[in-house]
Amino acid sequence: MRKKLKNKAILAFSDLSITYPRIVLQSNQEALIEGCLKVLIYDETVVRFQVKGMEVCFFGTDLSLQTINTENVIISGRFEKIEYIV
Amino acid sequence: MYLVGMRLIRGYVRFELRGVGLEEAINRSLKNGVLLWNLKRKGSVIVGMTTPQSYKRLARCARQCGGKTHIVNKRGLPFFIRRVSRRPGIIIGIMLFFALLIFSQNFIWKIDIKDYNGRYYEYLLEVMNQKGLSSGRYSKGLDIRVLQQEILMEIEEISWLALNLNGSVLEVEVSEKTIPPFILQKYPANVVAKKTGQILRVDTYKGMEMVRPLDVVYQGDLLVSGILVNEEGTVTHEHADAKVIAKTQDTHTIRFKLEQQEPIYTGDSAQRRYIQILGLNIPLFIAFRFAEEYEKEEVYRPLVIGKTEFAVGIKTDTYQFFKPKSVSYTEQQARELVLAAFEAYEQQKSYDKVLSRADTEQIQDGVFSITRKYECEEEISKKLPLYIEEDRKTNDFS
Repeated sequence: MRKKLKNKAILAFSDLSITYPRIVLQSNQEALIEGCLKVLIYDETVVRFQVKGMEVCFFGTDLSLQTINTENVIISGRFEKIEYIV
Repeated sequence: MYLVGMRLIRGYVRFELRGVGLEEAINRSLKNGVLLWNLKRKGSVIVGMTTPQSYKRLARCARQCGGKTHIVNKRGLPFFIRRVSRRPGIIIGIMLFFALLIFSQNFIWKIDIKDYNGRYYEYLLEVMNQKGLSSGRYSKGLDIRVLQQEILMEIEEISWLALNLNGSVLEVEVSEKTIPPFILQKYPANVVAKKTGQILRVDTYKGMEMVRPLDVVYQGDLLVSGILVNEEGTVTHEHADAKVIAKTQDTHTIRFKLEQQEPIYTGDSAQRRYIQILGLNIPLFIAFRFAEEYEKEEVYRPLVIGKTEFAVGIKTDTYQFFKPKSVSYTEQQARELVLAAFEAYEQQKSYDKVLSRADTEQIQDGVFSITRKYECEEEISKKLPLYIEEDRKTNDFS
């Protein structure tokens, strides 16, 4: 039981983890969101995504969705603030 | 870059999505397998891109969510082919372009002589041209190895030559011969006079001196003999060598017409341009003859892309118009010009020392002339090989 829990914990924080969403930021200009479920709000200044267990909100200017599919989104623009709504 | 290329090959549609529930339309489209990229919000409209196959599904999803789609433009290869399929001329043109492009590889576009700008550069180009190696020549069927040997045999001053046909560029690598230092010849020879004069000095290096200072010698007289007889009466032959300085006389006349036809440039000029393709000039003008006389200057500018020079370029002929005008010179002006010409002549002749000059002026039939008699010191020795064998050829080594 203890070993099982340990394995679960390792998996949760490893690169192979698909349990939690992953956000990769490149400066304040580009972000890759893995595990995106839904686009909730899309505006020039605000983009809000539904990810597993929370919502992520990007505030900024000239925000655009470079690539979007059922799991991943690449968002670009000039980010001013990122908000996690749990 | 790869992604952009793939999208252009597969084609894409740029669309506008407007109305209510745009986010919901996007989510629903994604769930239906619609590919979307470059989405940008502009007020109440979302502009984005999708594949031609996905667009119908996107439009259906947008309608279901209360939105509306509109195609802004279509780009990529499938749309281009559909567009040009109605215009056979474009397809023929493209095919012709590629056919000509492939065919053009059979010609020599450029001759690249690598790291050589020596004395025989122009001569090498001329010989190569004679052998059929020039820009614009059809390269198929040329036996490069044979031509290489032929050029080497033609130009004795070149010791090594390599011709490499690299695509449509003929690369030439050349190595010039290093002339060995002069080595005294072993063949028997006399030293004779190449000019008539009075001997001033004789420096004999080898052979028997036959003349003394103040002797008068005529052209061809023996100065130093290569046939030596020792005390025992044995005859030996040697390559005689000497420096013989003599007082000589020389006469030279320079004439100058007092009435000269000289061009007076009107200041007017004209330019004619040609497109030069593989040595062929295609005029970019309507030809007509100029009424006035002209002097022509040609300038050729090849097409250069990056570091590659092509056998295509623009040739510009500039015509400077002039009117011939009769100009009269005074005797004084003519004298000055003739004397200046004499200075140039003396430099060219390179006498050792000019002892005296005597000028005689004459004007006859409108021609001014000066005849100058020189008395000078100069080297008059000339080697003449001895006839040892009857069939041996005589060479003139001066």
